[in-house]
Amino acid sequence: MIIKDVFSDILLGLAVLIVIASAVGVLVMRDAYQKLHFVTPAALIGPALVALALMVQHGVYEMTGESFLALFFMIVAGPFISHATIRAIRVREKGDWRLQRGGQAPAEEKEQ
Amino acid sequence: MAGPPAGEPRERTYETPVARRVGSWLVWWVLMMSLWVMLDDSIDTDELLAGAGVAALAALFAEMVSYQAATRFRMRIEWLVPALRLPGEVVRDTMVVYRALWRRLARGEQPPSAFVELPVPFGDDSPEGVTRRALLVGGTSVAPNTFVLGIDQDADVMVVHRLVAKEGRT
Repeated sequence: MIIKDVFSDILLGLAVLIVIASAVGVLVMRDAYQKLHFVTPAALIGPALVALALMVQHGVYEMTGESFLALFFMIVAGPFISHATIRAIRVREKGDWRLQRGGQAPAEEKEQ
Repeated sequence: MAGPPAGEPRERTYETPVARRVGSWLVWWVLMMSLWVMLDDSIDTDELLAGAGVAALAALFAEMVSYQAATRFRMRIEWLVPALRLPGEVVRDTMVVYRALWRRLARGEQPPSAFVELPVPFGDDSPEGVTRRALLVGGTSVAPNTFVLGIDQDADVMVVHRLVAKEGRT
């Protein structure tokens, strides 16, 4: 019982740390492109750790199943929301999401 | 051009047979009803009837949206195999992103972020091709260091943004 409590507390603590670190990342990064990279850990890894903590604490039962179902929707939807957001930022900024190509080789465009 | 610009409708190139739309509605209904039973956790008749009603409505909306957006979905089971690598990639990319955060906080260094083109064949416009591209975009955007902007049909490249350009996947 105590081991379960300790393990689930560690998982919850990790989830809190991840969310705090992500919030700091969003705060200190330079632009919207960079800030967006810190949303994923808070939206994906944090909830996954909370769901795991719930499973460790209570085992496999109805509430755990519902938590993992919610997590599944977040895992499936999250990447497409990130894709749509970063694409919209780029289109708003440059008018097109594609890179300016000087030649045939794949291009790379560093941020200013 | 890889699809219409954001916000503009996709042109429907073929009409979906009514039987297929009914089949699609039925699949959605089964999925929505399963979701209801899971979340409601009751097999009382009145609860099931209420669930059947809202599942029918949800399935109708889902089918209508899929039809209006000309969504076509057909996938191969082998496309799911690379998904097994995703948990490892998420953990690795998370460490990459937090290392960049640490360098920013401790030394004031800006992360070397960049837009990068990765060679990816655009493929055809069949339902399989459309599904493959959707899975590529979603699968590549799961890990936090890399987000996909799109797949360029003319250049056969996938444009991604990386927070740390040099440590990302190839």
